[in-house]
Amino acid sequence: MMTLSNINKSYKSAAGRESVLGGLDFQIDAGEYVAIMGSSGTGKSTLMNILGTLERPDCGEYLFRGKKIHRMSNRKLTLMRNKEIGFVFQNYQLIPNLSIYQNVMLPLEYHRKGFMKKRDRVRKALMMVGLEGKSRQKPQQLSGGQKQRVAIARAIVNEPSLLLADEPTGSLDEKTTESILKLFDHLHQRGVTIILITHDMEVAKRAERIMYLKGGLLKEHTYETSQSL
Amino acid sequence: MKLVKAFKMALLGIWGNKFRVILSIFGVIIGVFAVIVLSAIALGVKDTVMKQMGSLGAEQIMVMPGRVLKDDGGAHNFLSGVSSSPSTLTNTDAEEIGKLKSVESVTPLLETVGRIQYESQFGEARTVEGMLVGTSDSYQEVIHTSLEEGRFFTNDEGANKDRVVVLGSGIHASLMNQNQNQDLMDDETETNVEAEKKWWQKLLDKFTGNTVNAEEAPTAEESLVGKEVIIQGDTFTVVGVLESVATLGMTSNSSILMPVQTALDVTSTENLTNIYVKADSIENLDQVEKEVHGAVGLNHPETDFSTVKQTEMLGAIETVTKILQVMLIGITATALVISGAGIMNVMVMSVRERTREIGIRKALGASTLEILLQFLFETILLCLAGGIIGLLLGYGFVQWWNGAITIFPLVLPIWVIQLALGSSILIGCICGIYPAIKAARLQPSRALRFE
Repeated sequence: MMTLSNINKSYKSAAGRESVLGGLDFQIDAGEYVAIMGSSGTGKSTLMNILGTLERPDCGEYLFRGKKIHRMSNRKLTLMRNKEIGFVFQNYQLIPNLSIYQNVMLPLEYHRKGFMKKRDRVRKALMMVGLEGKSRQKPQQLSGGQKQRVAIARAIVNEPSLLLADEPTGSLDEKTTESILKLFDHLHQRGVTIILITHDMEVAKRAERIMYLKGGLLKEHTYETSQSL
Repeated sequence: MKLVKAFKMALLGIWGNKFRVILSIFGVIIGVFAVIVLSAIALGVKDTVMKQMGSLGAEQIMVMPGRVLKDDGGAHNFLSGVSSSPSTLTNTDAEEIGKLKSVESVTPLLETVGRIQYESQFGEARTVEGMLVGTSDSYQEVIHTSLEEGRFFTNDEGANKDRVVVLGSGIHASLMNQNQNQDLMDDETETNVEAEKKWWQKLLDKFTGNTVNAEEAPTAEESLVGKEVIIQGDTFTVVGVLESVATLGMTSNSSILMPVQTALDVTSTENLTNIYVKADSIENLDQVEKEVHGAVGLNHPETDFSTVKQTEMLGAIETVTKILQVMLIGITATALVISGAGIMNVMVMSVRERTREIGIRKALGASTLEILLQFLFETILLCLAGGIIGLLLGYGFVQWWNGAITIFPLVLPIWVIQLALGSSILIGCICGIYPAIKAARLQPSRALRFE
């Protein structure tokens, strides 16, 4: 599904350039459910941005379904992101002045499909997250759990092959967290590749693979790595 | 396809920020309203003045005191300069002109401020100040006015220096007004006409100097026709009342007309203000002008007068109104530029406020071009909406003015509407570019982190 080789990323800071990812190698197969863990400031979000093609690495190779992402033009990357990748963010990232229906419709607006087909997809996505009756409401009228469900509906409305979730349960209570994780389980069963970034081990345990990000490198979960965290 | 999508997104963006939209288009509304109203005023003034001057007839020649400079083509150019020497024109000059075969009519004009007094049957004396005009019976033709009642004085009355007078409707109404009020005091059940006036009518009266308009003018049975009035100590008989004419610049409402010979006698002056001459045909106007110049020149060897054709006067007026139009275009363009700067400021703030939204849209598949077009269309739509509202308000104002105010009508041609809407779209395009580029250039990952 995706292969990352020798990925490096650094940012400018007051003290000079600060390396976040240093020679990261990583491979995920299609349909896998992977959790990436790490302490704050270790570059989890940077990694997610690179995986989601929102940022380019300074150097290294990134292959996504055989395509060389690091050599793609911005226009092609945008198109690929729209078709292949769904995003779920910790703080939902819904547009407040659009209705739930319009928020979920958003990825389809940039996708050339007939109106009826688009409407059906939005209806199905909202049905899957159990919010079909809330389509006319605005995000601020919903609870945190409902907002995250809307974000998941928006992420899956384009039927992407990869779902990237950055701390999707970070601001939710236990019960709501469970319902969101069940949704991820359901999507995984349907063959969607899921990469979940979290600092919560209970959440990470739902994944097939757990990886740790430390010192700019990713390591598979073992007894030793879990002890060192 | 991208255009349609961007347009749809722009509409949604505007719909989602209604309050900001109202605030941001306020400047454009005022700007376009100013374009519409000021253009309509400029064109209305031009139209009215041109019609008034044009109605004198193209065969008219005006003899006026002082020298008007001529341009390279030999035509009189009022804008180059007019010497301000006192008038030496006399009624003898008018009589000399009248002797010319190529002249159809001569209208001498003596204008000065004078007082007129009328004593009612109750013994109440009313004095009004007006424009004392000494002229001939052809005055009606020159000024294009007609009588409301009575008759105009004749040339014979002029030759005999009869004390006869024709009153402008405003003067007539003012003289009658006090007596009406006297009657009103006697009968308290009558309504006060002045009190019934709307605030804008009262304000307008202050500007135009009219205290009573045509509708409130007294009826025939309360007329002064046939009654005696006192002017400059002499007793005159009122023989007629002019119709109310409330137009820009030239109005006879405040005139007190009498034969020119009588006026010269009453005011103890010898000189006329100017002389209107009507040629018998337009074909040999230049020749007639020369003949008129020669006839007046007999008594003025030092040439302290000018003969000006109607076309030359119209040319001068047109030049002045063009200058007025350019000035108004400058003012309105400034207003639109200021409103455009306001829109740009609001849109830049909007891009900042909506940074996260831009990040979300980019993350979900919006291209740089789609974001650019969305924000550009938003600005254009805002300006267009402001333009349409300003246009409707301006149109409403013009309609109201033309229905309620009679000084001069406002003129709103289709090109002014096209100019107003076109300029608002142009402002949207120009002022929308910078915020749109700013939005389109945002990095999605940074935009999503924006607090």
